[in-house]
Amino acid sequence: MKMKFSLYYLLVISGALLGAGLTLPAMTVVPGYGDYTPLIAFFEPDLSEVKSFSIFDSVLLLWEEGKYFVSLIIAAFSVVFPIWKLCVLWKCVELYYNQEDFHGALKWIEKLGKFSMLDVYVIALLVLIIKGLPGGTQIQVGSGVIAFALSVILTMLIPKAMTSRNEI
Amino acid sequence: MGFLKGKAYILIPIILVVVTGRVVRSLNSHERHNRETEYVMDGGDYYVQPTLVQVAPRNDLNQEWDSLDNSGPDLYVEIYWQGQRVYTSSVKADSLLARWSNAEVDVRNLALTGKRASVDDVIPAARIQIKENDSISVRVYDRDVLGKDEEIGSLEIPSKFLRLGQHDYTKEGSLVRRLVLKTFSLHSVPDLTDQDAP
Repeated sequence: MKMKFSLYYLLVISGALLGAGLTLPAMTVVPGYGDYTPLIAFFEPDLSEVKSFSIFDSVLLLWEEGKYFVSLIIAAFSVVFPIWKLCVLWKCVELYYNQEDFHGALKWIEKLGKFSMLDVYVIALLVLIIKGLPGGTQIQVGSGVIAFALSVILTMLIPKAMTSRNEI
Repeated sequence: MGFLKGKAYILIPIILVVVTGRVVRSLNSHERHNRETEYVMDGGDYYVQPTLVQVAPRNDLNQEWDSLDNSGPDLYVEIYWQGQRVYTSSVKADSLLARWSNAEVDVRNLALTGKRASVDDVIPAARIQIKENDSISVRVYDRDVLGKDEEIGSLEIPSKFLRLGQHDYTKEGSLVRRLVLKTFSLHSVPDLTDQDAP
């Protein structure tokens, strides 16, 4: 009985991590102006303000700035797709415990699963690029990215658990 | 219930993500609010700087501030601490809404006296130390060239209730419609002599 519900627990944890990952700060921008940083911090504190952005905030900000296409792409791959994946996985787990065939649905998740970590790659790339710019501005990876990545990892482990048990 | 059971695989993940997201978002905004309203520390040294003052369009007798030329008041602010005036702002002429910058340099004074200006000198603010049962008095005046300056309004703020950053301390029912003070630590201002010479 205990093992029957373990995949549901993983799904719940994955869903909670996804919710947290979308709203917790994904990255923090710490502005730097080289040797003039303290002066600018004093005279123009707004320019030196440390700002944090979550994935959800990024989608809204891009939309408000009129970058609709980019906003929709990020919303599709960062919000809609992970939630859709969770819904499909939930259905797969239901079918699995009812001893029905779930492999058809799992195939779609496996095909599109490679896009799941896109956000993490983009943020890692941003950190590297910004680090190379003059002035010392930094981007720090936030807890949102970690929560999001953990959620994605769990959604990769759940199908593995189902298929490996099935083989046994 | 049958309908809901059939749709559990859609509803439960969506509800889970939305509820967790809302909870985390509200916790985050609560933490940000706490940071923004952080109070000063007892015994700490701080700058208290008036950054914005807005007054009513007419004085307490419902007359124009300057009846000679129908202009607005010439506003300036004084801060009193421990019974003594510790700061006087520059005068903003003909203003119902006056703003003071983070830094001010009296170029004429420097040129005439030949004095040097340090980083601390250009900060137009009162310097106070926070003590229990202490307070500061912020007074807004209309500079009168011919007669005595008229006090438009004043505000008594217990020192321990000063908040770090820029905040509105407006008192209801006063001719001073808005009074924004900026409070920051005396030790937060960079000492450029500590920097390596370029």
